[in-house]
This record gives sequence, C-alpha cells and structure tokens, in this order.
Amino acid sequence: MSTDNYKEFRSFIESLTNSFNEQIESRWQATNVELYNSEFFEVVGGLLARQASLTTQFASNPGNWNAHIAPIILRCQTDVHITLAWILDSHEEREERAKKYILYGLGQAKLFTEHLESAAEEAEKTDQEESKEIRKIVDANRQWINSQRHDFLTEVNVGHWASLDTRSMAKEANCESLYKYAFTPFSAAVHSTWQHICMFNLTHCANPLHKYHRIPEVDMNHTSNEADYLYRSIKYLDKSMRIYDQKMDLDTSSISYALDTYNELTDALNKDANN
Amino acid sequence: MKKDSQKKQILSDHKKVGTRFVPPIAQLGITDCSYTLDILPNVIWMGFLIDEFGNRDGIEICSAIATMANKFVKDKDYKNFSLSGSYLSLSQNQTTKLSTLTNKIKEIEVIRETLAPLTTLYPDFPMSFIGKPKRTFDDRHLIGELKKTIDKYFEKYSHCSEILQTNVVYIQGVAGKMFISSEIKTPNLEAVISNRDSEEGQHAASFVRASVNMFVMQNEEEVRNWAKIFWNRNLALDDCESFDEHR
Repeated sequence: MSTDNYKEFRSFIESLTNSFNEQIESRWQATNVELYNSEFFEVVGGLLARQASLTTQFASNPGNWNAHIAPIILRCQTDVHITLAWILDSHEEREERAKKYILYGLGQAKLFTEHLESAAEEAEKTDQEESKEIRKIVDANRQWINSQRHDFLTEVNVGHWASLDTRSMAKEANCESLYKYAFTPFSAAVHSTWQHICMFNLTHCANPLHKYHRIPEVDMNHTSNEADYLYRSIKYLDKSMRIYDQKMDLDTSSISYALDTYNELTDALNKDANN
Repeated sequence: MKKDSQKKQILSDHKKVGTRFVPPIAQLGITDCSYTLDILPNVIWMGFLIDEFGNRDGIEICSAIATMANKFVKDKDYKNFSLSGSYLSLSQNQTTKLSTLTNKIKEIEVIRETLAPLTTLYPDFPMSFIGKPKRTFDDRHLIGELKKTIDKYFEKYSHCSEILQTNVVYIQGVAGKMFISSEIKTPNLEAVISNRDSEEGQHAASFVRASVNMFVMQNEEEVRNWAKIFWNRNLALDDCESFDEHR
C-alpha cells in the first residue's frame, strides 16, 4: 500500500469510527432514561457501547482481520447482540433481566475477589510484598462491588446469568439465525475446537509415505486481511443499533446507522479511487 | 414455500442420547474403519504386484499367494490373506512352509524385486517369507518407489484403489469364505476393472467397499497391528515435506 493510499485508508477508518461514536451518543441522547430505574438503561446502553467499542477497535486494527483473531471478536459481538436483544425483548421483564445481568456480574467479581483474598493469605507466608499488592486489588474490588450492592449480600451464581443457555435466549429474542450461522461457527475459534484448529493451525505434510498427516503451522503472514470481517463487525453493530431503536421506541428520524455509514464511505472511497 | 411444521428437521434420523446425536449406522454398533489408516497398508503389496504384472496377472499372483496361506487355517477361520496383516496370525512353522510354497512360483524373483520396498524397508513386514531379491537396491530408490505407489493408491475412490479393494473380496470368494444372501444381486467383480462406470460396475464397486470394511473388521487385530507398524515406520524412513516445495 502506498503512503497516499495508506493515509486515505486511515482517514476512512477514522471517519467510520467517529461516526459510530456519534451514533451511540445520539441514541443515548434520544433515550428517555428513568433515573429511578437507571440500572436497566445502564445495562442496555453499556451493551450498545460495548458493541460499538468492539467494532471501533477492530476496524482500527486491520492486522486482526484474519481467521485467527476476527472470529473471536465477532463471536463476542454476536454474544453482545443476543444478550441485548434478549433483555430488550420482554417489555414487562426487561428490568428484571437487567437486574439478573448485573447481579451475575457482581457475583463473578465477588468470586474472583475471594480467590484473590485466598491467594493473598497464601502469599503472606512467603512474600509479604506480593501479599500487600494482592490485597490492594482485593480492596479495590470490594469497594467496586459494595458501591453497587453489599458484597455480603451478593450471591455467586456459577450457572448462566439468565438461567437460560445462549441458544434459548437467541430463540426467544428472534435471533436464532445469528446463533446458528454466526455465534456457533465463531465459537470454534473462541474455544479452539477441532474444526478451527484443523483448518487454520495445521497443514498437510506432502509426503505420501507420511499418510499426508497434518503438521502444526504458525501463521506468520502479517499482511493478509479480509475486509469481509470488518463488514460483519459493522453489521452486528448495526443490528444492535436497530434492535435498540425498535425496542426503546426511539425517534430515529435524525439518527444514522452503522451499515449505512459504512456503505456511504466505501462508495466515496471507490469513487475517489476510480477518478 | 413449506410451512415450518412440514420442514424436515435436521438430524431427524439420528438418535438423541443425552447431549449427543448418534447417526443411524452407528446405532447398530458399526464402527469406522479407515481406508487410508488401516486398509491401505494391508493391501499396498497387491498394488505393487498389479503395477508390475498388470491387472489380470497381478491379481492372479496375489490370489495364488493368498490361497497358499489359506491352507494353514481352518475353513471356519475367516482370515483374508489379501490383507498383509493377516499373515501375522501364522506360526513361525507355517510361514516357513509358506515360504517353501511361494518359492515355487515361476515369477518369484520378479515378485521379490517388486516387493523389495516392503521386504527391505520394514523389518516387521508380515509377508517377509516372500524373501528379499538377489539384486540389492539403494534405500532411496526403494523409498521413492514406495512413495509413488502409496500416492497412487491413496484415494479410496480412485479406480486403481477400487481394483485393490475388489481383490480383497475376490480372494475371500476364492477361499470359499464369502456367502451372499439370495436376496442380494450377486455383483460382477470383473465389471469394477473392465466397465467401472456402468451400472453393473458401480453396483460392484459399492458392494466391494462395504464388504472390505467387514473383512477388515474380521481380521481387525492383525490388520491394525500391521497398519500401526507401517505408518510409524514411515516417519523414520523419510522427512516431512511441504507442498510449497512441490510447487
């Protein structure tokens, strides 16, 4: 890529990601937040911002647009969308669902803090300094938990936060196809299961004497990137924006969508390239 | 457009066992036998001979050797001597006698030269009773021959591989150890060689593939033993290669 092309490309990515940020802000401005019940709004607003953050960071790092890293990010994005869509899906239960989501997160933080506490006690016997450092993290964690709910009242749930598996959540929230065609295949990269490893981390030995067995292959190609992964990331952000607007009854007359912006900017980029 | 209720459910023919969906054939307890992993090392000797002598004569020589070995086992013993691993079931005394018998084959020296990659490179080759050739060959040459032949017969569905597999069925038949139900149309094995693409050839080829699996399972222990020795030995014989080097 020439220096001019590179600058043009960086400018394209910058315009794109700035737009996503503006689009999230304008949605938040258009949301009628009820402060008495702010938890629900914090959860859905946070999830939407998470989706935009993932797309923004992903877009800004083209070196990650490959089969090793991209599916990990994209699976995370499908997870964000299903969680958001499920919480928003029931108008009657959405506050209860958001609460469950928060309590699960606090419980997980408490569990981690308990582990740290135990590690600090162990360290005290051998390394006082290390123990002190761990205790600082324990104190910070406890303060964070207690700022939301007394940690002595916080339950630890080791199951799924919604008491439902992701497939059932997706089905209830009418995004089962996203689960089937995106969440599930991308999970292979997240969990490093065979269908991913076999395709991307092994290659065939060319010796017939060796039964054409597979041998490990580290991908050292730093230049290959597939823009389709970026498109998908933006598509999931777009989906989340649309479900948010629809379920939150937003007036969308002056709000734009991620995919529209992407299409407009790529059209402009292509026109420039043709001129 | 079909209504949802009319849509075929995916995996509907599978049986749900806990969180697993078991395919219909596996419900009968039938396990997989890999052509590449288990069958190829056991039939490759016939590939060498067929390449040297041609289809007809090659098959007859393989059949002759298997028939000689068959004399040492009981009729009810379903050993199939087209599979080299089966020879592991013979005693030392029996293989000595077998060696005496194969010595009398007119083409024995050519057979020895042809099978030299196997008899020379594999100390545990179950058919070493054939004997080594008088001429000596360079190991690199033998490894080259071996690679060429394995590559040729590597694909289960290639015509030449189907001929090898047909020979497994043919030899079982010659030994009088194959019984076909009257409800099944008897396949014309000859059609696999001479008219593979005809309906008759296709019927015979599919019969062969299904039957070979069964014959291998009847000789499972020896067949797998030899296959294991064969593939593991290959790793010591030659280094890994990259497809980039081949381009």
